[in-house]
Amino acid sequence: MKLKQTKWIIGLTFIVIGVFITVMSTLPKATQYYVTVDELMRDKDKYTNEDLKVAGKVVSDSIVKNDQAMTWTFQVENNNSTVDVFYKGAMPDTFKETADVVVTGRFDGQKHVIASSVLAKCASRYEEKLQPSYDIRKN
Amino acid sequence: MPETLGNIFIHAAFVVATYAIVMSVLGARTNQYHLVRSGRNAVWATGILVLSAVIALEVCLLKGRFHVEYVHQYTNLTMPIFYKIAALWGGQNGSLLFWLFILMVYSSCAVFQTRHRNVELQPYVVAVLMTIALFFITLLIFSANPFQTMPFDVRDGRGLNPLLQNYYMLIHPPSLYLGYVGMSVPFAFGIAAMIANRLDNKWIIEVRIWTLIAWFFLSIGNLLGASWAYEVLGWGGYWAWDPVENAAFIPWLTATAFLHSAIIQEKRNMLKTWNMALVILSFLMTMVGTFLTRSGIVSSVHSFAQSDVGQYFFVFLGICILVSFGLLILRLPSLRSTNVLDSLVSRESAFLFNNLVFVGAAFAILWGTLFPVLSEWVRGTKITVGPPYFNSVMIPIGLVLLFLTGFGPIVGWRKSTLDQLKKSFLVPILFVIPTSVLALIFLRKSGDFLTTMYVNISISLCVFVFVTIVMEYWEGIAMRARIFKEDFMTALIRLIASNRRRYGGYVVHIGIVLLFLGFTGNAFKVEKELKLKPQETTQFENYLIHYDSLVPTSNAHKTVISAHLAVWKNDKPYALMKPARVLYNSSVPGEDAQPSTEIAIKRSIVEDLYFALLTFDPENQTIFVKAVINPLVQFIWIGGLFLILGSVVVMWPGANGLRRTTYA
Repeated sequence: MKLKQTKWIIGLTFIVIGVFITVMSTLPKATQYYVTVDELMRDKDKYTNEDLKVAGKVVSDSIVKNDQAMTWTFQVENNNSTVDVFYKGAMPDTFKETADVVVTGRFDGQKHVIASSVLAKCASRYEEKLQPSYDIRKN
Repeated sequence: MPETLGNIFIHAAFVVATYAIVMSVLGARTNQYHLVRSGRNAVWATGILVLSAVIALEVCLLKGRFHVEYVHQYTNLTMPIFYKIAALWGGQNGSLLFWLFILMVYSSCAVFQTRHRNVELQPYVVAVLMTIALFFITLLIFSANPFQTMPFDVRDGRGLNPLLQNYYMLIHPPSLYLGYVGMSVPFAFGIAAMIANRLDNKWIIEVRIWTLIAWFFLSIGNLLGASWAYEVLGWGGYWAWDPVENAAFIPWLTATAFLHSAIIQEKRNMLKTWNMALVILSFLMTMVGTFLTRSGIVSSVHSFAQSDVGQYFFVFLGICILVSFGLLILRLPSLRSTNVLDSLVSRESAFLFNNLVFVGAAFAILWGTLFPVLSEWVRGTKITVGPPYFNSVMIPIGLVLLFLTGFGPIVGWRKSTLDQLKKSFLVPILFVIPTSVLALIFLRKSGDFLTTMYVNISISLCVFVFVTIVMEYWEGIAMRARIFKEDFMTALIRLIASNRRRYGGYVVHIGIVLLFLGFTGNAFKVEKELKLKPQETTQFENYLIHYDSLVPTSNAHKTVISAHLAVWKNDKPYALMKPARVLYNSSVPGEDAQPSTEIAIKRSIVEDLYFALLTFDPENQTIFVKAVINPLVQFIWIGGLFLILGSVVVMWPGANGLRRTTYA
């Protein structure tokens, strides 16, 4: 009886360790820094030439779009820090001025991010608190 | 008026729910049955009050009472009536009321179902369920009141986000909530059994029924979510390992584990502690998921407002963890198994391995989802974990599970001899070997070595599992045909009817095999961005695509600009496809139109052809189209149907459905 139990414990430990090793060994390959624009600018050296995710707000009137090449340049800001973003590819439908975005890309150490993807907060079901940006009473 | 009534109903529900808890516990402690009965009636009364609150909110939504903030934010005058109804779960506050409502429906049913049996458990079941209800009522009153009015009058609202105005909005959230909230009922039974110290095998039967129901809806909810993403969102996939998706997947994994290990407890009276832990875990995971996604603590495509709802969830979650695991430790002696495992090669061990792998998968996903939060706590830097992590962890785990799906049912209980194993595995292996060889020869083009390996293993295992299931059916049918002289169809139907848990379960397994085939197709996905000028023709794999022109149409609500694409497949006319950009006019003056993408999909069993119009140049009509070939995606939806069908077979009430505990 004792022997069987031991065999079991070995077998089960094996699985648990297996899962654990898979998790731990894969993790480093799939991680990226996630910073806000001001965090990025505060610690430029650390993030230079790193692939990272940068979160912030699209600056008003900063979007320049080239329909022929499907390239975009725009600025993202957060707490008075700004970065310039270059991007080529499909833009999410929710991307617009002042939208909250998360840009994935490479930081050049100065103030540019070359982006491989842009994620705009889909203003989905749980929308922001009512913003009195327009006068509701007029409607 | 209705908003005032709604408020009153919620406050009244608070009082009545509290009464239900006090009476139930008092009645149980002092053995006064009339108090217990009164507590039970209070559950139904709370249910009616919550239903009334829901009706009140629906009246507000339908009648356009826009001075109610919630109505103003999620509806407007021009919205179709169905979306006005669906606005109940379209926003944070309403969806919490909807959650409470579903909880009350479940509670009322559970209490009704057990009114004559499990008398010792019932008061505590009521107490636990009503405590959860009380938590939601508290949220509604203090933090997320959907009946909140604004101090001024408004004539119109902002309307539901056009991206959500889709028929999936009517069915996906309710089924997901039904699954999520449903996990509360088994949790309540488990906790009640521990409080009352009635840890014989009765509670597990109740718990299994309710877990199965919750699991059923959670499965549908997840499948519908995947389908919605695929058809509407335009990035060409059905699953992105987004935190919100993970939050719905984790409890599904733990519940699936429980549904399997419950069988061992019923059959062999083992794994009691483990089962109780799984029941608790499944419920806690629904709470963790809700907390994560509603507190704004992890960033997700499904953006959630930063609100203090998260803090409430955090506190409640903490209490739940302490109480449930505290009780579990306290009751460890009563939960001890009376049997031990005999052999590593037995059905018990297959079930146990399956359980560990399921829980391992849940842990791996939870770990990846929580990693940004954990890394920020520990190292001060937020580090995110992307889909590559989830894919590379979940593919091997999934394949192990797929293997066990085939292995478990054909290996015997207790102990298998080498001869028995040879006999059971001979036929499946005879099928698997040629499949692997063929797969190796024909499917070599798919990328790197690892992918090729995975594809090969996956297809081989799919065949393996499928053959074992067919054999199980075949043996049963042949036996009936021999003994009862039944023809094939009669034998098949009576076979299923004779043990619906077993044969219904196999139908679910067929669904899983089909799902895995669909997932495997993903390895052969081809994706390309095409730049096309009017009248330009291009070749995309074996499709010839001709771009004719941009065609705009518009009505009061929206402007649709569609690109007309004529497609030939292998030089034969195939389809005219019209991917489009849609601009929804905002009901708020001065606000920009909300753009959205309308996908064009031509489905076939082998592969789907998928177009999304990314951008267009209004002047010279040049377009960018994302073209995707998604092989075998249809198997996912077909597999989903099998999964649902099989679950229905298992759940169908009757003499040898749920109630019976045999599983031969």
